[in-house]
Amino acid sequence: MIELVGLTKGFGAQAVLDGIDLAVPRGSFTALLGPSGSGKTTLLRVIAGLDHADTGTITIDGIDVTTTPPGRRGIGFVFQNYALFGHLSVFENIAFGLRVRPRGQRPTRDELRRTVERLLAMVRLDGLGARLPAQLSGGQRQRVALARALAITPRILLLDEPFGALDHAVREDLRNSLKRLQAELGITTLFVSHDEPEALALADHIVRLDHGKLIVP
Amino acid sequence: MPAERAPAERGIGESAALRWLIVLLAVAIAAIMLLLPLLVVFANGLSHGLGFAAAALAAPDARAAIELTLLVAAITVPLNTIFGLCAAWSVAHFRFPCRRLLVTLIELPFAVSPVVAGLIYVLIFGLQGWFGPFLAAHDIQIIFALPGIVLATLFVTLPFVARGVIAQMEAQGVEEEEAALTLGADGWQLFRRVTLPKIRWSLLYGVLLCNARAMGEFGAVSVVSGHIRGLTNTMPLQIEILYNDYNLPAAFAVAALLAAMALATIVLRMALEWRHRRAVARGADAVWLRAA
Amino acid sequence: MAATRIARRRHHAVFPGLRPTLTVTLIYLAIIVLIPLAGLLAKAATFDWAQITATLLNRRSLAAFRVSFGAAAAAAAFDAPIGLLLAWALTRYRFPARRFVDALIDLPFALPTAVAGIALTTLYVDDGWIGGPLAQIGLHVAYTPSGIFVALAFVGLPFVVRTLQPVVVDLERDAEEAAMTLGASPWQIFRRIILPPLLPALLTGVAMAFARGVGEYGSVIFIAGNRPAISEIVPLLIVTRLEQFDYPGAAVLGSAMLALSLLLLLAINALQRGSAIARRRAHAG
Repeated sequence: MIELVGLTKGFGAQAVLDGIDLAVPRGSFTALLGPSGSGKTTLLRVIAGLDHADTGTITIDGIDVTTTPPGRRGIGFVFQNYALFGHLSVFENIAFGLRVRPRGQRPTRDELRRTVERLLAMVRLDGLGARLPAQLSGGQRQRVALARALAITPRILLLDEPFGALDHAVREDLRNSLKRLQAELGITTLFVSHDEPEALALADHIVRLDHGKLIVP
Repeated sequence: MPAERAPAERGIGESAALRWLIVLLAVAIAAIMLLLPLLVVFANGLSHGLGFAAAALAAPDARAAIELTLLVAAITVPLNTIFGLCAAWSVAHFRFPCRRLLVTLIELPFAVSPVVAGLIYVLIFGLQGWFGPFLAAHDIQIIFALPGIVLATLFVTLPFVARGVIAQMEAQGVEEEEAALTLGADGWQLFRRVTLPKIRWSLLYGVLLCNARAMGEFGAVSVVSGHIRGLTNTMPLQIEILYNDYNLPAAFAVAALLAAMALATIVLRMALEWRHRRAVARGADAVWLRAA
Repeated sequence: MAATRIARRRHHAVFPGLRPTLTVTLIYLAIIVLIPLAGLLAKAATFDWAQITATLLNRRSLAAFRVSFGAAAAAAAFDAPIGLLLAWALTRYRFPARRFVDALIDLPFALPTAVAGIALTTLYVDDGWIGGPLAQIGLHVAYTPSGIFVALAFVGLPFVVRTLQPVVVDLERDAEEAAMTLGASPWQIFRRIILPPLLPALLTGVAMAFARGVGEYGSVIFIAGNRPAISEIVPLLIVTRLEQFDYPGAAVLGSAMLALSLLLLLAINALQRGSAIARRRAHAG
């Protein structure tokens, strides 16, 4: 689970985050809702370690990760524009997190292959391992991004506007996939959205943000 | 490098005659201003036949000049490449104060006259310079020797790699690298697996240009080298000596060699661009980094 | 929930490697660029004001500045329409040898200046391929200030063309077609729709060509004639002072050139930024 205590970033009226205290229950599917400029993406990035807050602490499963680098917080991040490695195949994208592990912890070739293929099946992209990201549709890229993040068995899954750039039918399909996956894996999931109906459909918990502050209902 | 738009079938209503006139003018101008000087070099270099040119290049002073030029390039290009990569890494990934100033400083050698570039090293290391007496006392030669030439060349070619790579990194953004960070990559893995494949075109082209300039630099090297025949003459300086000695065929023979280098640079650049464009069209960002 | 306020933290960088790369960058820049340039200014400062003005404002120096600036300005101005023509033809039209011409544009960038120098001299000398016909009609180029102009036009051309090309590629064709449907003639379209967005880039390219031309040495000294007060450029004057061991004099001239280079660099950067902003705004519309 995630515990945020006293996170602030920025000053006064331009404070991007203004004293965030939040506890995200383990295994929950939580949505961070808010208008643009509310600080929700910044909050997500701060939790991931891609940005730093000026004050406050971040605790994941009891461990203080406030100063831990993003690669060692046990988080998986899915970017709004997928951020797939354009020069690597789908297979290699998903395998990336496993390949860069320290020597002692790296899986063998067979283990790696099995893991990646399992993930490809999980996101229903079987057989597309050799393709390049540019040869995929938006929805397919999103699923690769998801598989890539899950490959490192993170404790927490963070998604930044995961369906933002996709059209309606694809979104619905992906939503259901994501919900199913999350239920299956039981992984604590936090995602940012500005689309309220979608958030309500997906999440168990809703957290609202405005001008860097939590809106308590 | 943006993809080309669909060509001129969509015009602005200009007549075909006008188009051809413009094209003809453009080709004529390119031929007169650009092609002719190139042809003159080869025509004069080979005016006495290939054998003569080869002999001119094998003459002791010419050979020494060629070796010195290659040595200088072999030292300066790797150094400036490493610098360029370091500079690009820090500028693209970090928002530190005076970032813009740093980039401007890196571009400064472009704006400075080559003679001034040589002058500044003479003023520091020359006999009347800051370190002059110290160097003389310890019998260290910088000006009128290889170190001075290397320094002046480093100055003049400093921006080539840095600029290209910085521009490309800023254009491409850091999202892929952020993703790699979340996946657990450390600094070296990040650079090797994500950054380097993405910047390879601008890096290669920057290295090419850096090399061309390092081999061809004249003004700066002229000031620091002392023109000692057989010792501190690079190819461009040797050209000047031969030319001033009225030995035109030999001067142009050496010039033709450098011109061939310039042509190779241009052709390589075209090839790089062509491959890059095809890679983009094919939907790959080229896969030379084969899956491990 | 009570908020825990810790004292404001220093941010760790997100990406690794800031300290080593920044250190290398700064040290390298200091050794290669900053300290030597400081040395230049320090040496120039050993002169007092009277000596400095004497060095800069004597007849020979002033003439050299006039020659360098004049030729560079003329060449840059000449390169503007030529460069525009070339950029336009290369981007908008398809013709045989287009790729070849496009590659040729890079020649002055890649060709060593000494090679260009002797090539241009041989070309424009009174019995050269171009100089010959010109001499017939009484025009002498080599060993005159015109020679400097020709050399600088050669050297500056790619700056104009390469700065213009991406902007020409990015032009909004829809706007041109709209103008066509509204009955504008090609010339009107060019003047009113096409040229305005190109002007910032054109200006930038011209400024870059000018900046390069003012300091150019190798391409010029063979074809120039190098007669003091007539066809002597400032870089040559600096070299002459050095050969006479007048270090402070050379430093003063060099500092003047450096100051000018800095000004031009800042101006060019400002132009580039303005041009980029204008393009972004045009695209957002």
